[in-house]
Amino acid sequence: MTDSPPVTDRDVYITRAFAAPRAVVWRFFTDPALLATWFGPTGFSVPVDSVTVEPRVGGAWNLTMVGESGEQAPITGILTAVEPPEYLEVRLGAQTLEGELEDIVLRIRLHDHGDRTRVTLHQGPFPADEMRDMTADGWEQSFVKLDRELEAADR
Amino acid sequence: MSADEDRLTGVFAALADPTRRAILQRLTTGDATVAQLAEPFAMSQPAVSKHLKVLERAGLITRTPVATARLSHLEAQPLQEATEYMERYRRFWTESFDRLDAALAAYLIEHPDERIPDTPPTTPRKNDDD
Repeated sequence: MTDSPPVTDRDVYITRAFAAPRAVVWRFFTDPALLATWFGPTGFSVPVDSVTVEPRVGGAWNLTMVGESGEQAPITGILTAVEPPEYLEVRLGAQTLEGELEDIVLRIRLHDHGDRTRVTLHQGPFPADEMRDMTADGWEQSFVKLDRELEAADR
Repeated sequence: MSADEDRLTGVFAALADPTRRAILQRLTTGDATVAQLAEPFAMSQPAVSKHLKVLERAGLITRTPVATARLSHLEAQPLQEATEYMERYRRFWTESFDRLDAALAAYLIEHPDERIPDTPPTTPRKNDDD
């Protein structure tokens, strides 16, 4: 079992249950035709021929999301762990509106619950510079700000 | 004591507890159910629920019923800026997973043989990702 690193405030962590057996959910992350059916936020689609998944350590995990007005958002990844049907880890790079993301690690773990599967997703770290407020002095600074706001609101 | 002082006292009392601060921090990454909030803590869901009640009374969170659960949502405006950035990435997955949900359902209708027939009641498994 691959060790799970701690979740930081620069990471995304989501856990969610799906009504399908684990082997099926696994294929929705690793079979290009199935991955293309769901990946990407609302308004984006993934052309099947843009998807490459080479299910082995060092293999590619690439796809391109296409927006409603045709804008392209490619994601390129290298698989760093492939443990079917349980664990998938990809080192990702992506072009976003904010610029380029590099070396974001995406960890997908599938938990077997019979006819259901719980997926935990842990992705990060995202770049800190846009989160200066939060990282400079950590969470305490946010509470100092909150105190000030509350004082101001009470005057 | 004025109503405002009352409210402030509630806010500071709510923030004085490290577990409640950790819960608020978790909520910066998005709304969560009691079960999700209890996961990182060695705490029962009722114990987490008590903390959520304190936070709710202080106005720091609101709770919305969604299906069979209640989602807690961070309300503290000053804490908002720092969370917006991460929220975008979170939303990416929330929306993708909504579509995955639908795609899996459609797939299992077309491939009924891949369902698990007569699944015996599953015993809750310990989290193996910790």
